[in-house]
Amino acid sequence: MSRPASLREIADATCRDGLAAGLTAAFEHGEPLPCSLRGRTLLPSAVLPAVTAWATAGGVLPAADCRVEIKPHAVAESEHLALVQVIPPVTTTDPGPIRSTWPRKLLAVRTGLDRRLLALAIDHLSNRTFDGAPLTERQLVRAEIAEIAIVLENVETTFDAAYTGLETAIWHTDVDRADRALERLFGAAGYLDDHPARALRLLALIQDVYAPPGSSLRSAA
Amino acid sequence: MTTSGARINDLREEIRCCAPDLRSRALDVDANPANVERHFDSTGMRTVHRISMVPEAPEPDRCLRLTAGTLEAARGDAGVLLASPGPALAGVVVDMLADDEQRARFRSALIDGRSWAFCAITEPQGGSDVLGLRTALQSTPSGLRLSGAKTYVGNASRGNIGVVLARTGPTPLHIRAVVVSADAPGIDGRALPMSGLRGARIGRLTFTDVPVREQDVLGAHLPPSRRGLWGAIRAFASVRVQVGAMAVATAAAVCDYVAEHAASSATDLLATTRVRIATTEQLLLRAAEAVDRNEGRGQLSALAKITATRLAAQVTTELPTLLGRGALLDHPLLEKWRRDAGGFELMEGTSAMQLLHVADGAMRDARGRAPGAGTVNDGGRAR
Repeated sequence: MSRPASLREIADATCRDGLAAGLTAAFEHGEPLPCSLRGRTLLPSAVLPAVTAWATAGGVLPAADCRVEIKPHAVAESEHLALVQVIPPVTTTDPGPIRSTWPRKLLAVRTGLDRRLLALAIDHLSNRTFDGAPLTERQLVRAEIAEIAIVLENVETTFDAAYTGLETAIWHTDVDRADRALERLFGAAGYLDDHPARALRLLALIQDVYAPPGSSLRSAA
Repeated sequence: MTTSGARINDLREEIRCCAPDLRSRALDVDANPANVERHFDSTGMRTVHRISMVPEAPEPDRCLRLTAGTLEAARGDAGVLLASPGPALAGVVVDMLADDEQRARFRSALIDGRSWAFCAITEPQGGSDVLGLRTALQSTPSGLRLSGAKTYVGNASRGNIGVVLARTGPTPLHIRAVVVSADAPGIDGRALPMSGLRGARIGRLTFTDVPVREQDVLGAHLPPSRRGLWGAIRAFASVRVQVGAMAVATAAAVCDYVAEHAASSATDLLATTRVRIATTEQLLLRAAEAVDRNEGRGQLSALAKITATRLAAQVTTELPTLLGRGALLDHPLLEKWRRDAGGFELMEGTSAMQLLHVADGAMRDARGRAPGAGTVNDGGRAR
């Protein structure tokens, strides 16, 4: 079995090849894939056959015991992701916190995606003008770009060390800020479902399942 | 309470009653924005149409009425509000710049409750930089002709009438708003695949030598300085308040929804959120009154819009977490409202644009309040 990808490798894969590639790099054979309380989750379509267990509200269940329905989701499909509904064999109850490495790995996916989109945003803004000058000359725009760069550099600095869940949660909050700044940089163009920034919106849904606020406190360091 | 205050309260009460009907249609409109005709005769859409119609004569509290109505209707759902037939944003421009005949023509095109209007301002290259707009209204031997391209226009593909901002020459005084009929030759409208607020049916419009009648150029009865850009700036200030009202109402909708589904331990956060929603509503209503009184240059409306859109972004992100892991996948309305909240940031100028307005206003205020302001030579800047 191959070794798990490092956080830097996960970030690089996302930056180079996009969201699905980053999540696929982060996927570890045998690790349960998190689901929502009602059994829904998003994952790379290519990973679906390799999932061996689901982390559901009723606990960790072998994939072989569950029925899985793929739900239509055009935006997810355009990013090579699948929305699935996991149906457990019996009704179960909430088992409490699930130990997971996903909060840390998702941090790497998020920084990789932000690097990828920041390059696109700078290119986009260089070609738009206001009052006769490219938007990249505007002080407010440059400040936004700088703030994103600061967040990404700081978070990436943490990749080579072991940190607690609390610290991971704080860095996720920092990346939230960078995501919002990126969305502002793209403006209305980024609000289209056929724009690459749609990956940010999908990643927010994934984060809500894989690493919701508070879950980092109980994640594996 | 003043008579005006009582009228506003009555209006809010009336629209509050139809908010559940609007909400019940939210997911269908989001999924099928090109097919909303089946909702035309619903209580919610009929009420929105009636309230939003351009009045037969100008009303002194028009912005306040629209804001109060929007606060209630969008608490049902902003997407369905925007999908409802009626004048939408174009109505604000017509209300400020049209003469009696233009007003009557515009009303008659929308009176059936099955038609929409578009308001074409933003352009592909320069965004909402009105001073830099390129769409041209030119005088030719065969009459006025309109040519150019607009983008991110609500009702672009389905409006049967609309207002287009164009220029007749190089200066700000050459900017004009014209009413055009969508069936005029040379107009092409296409919808764009928007992430949220899909009910608005936002899209692109191109105009190729579109004939425009002299009587469809708005503001001809006004002094030259008030015909084009002046009216547009006032209209933008009003629209900003309406967008802010949609944003805060969406935050309120999320709060209502989460309160209904969350465990009782979440009450502190919900109570705090409700206080912030209430204060932001008051700010928006103040901004609307300032627009109606033509006070300032829209700084209060910019400030209110930023406050409201930030609140919507925060509430639609944070409150769903109270419903547990994966709440956005488990509760489709919460996921939709989160997408919608991103749209408010973009409508009628991003936060970066609004911050510039706010800074301008704050600097003017500071200069006006400086010791000795107005009594010493301050370069003529003190108020």
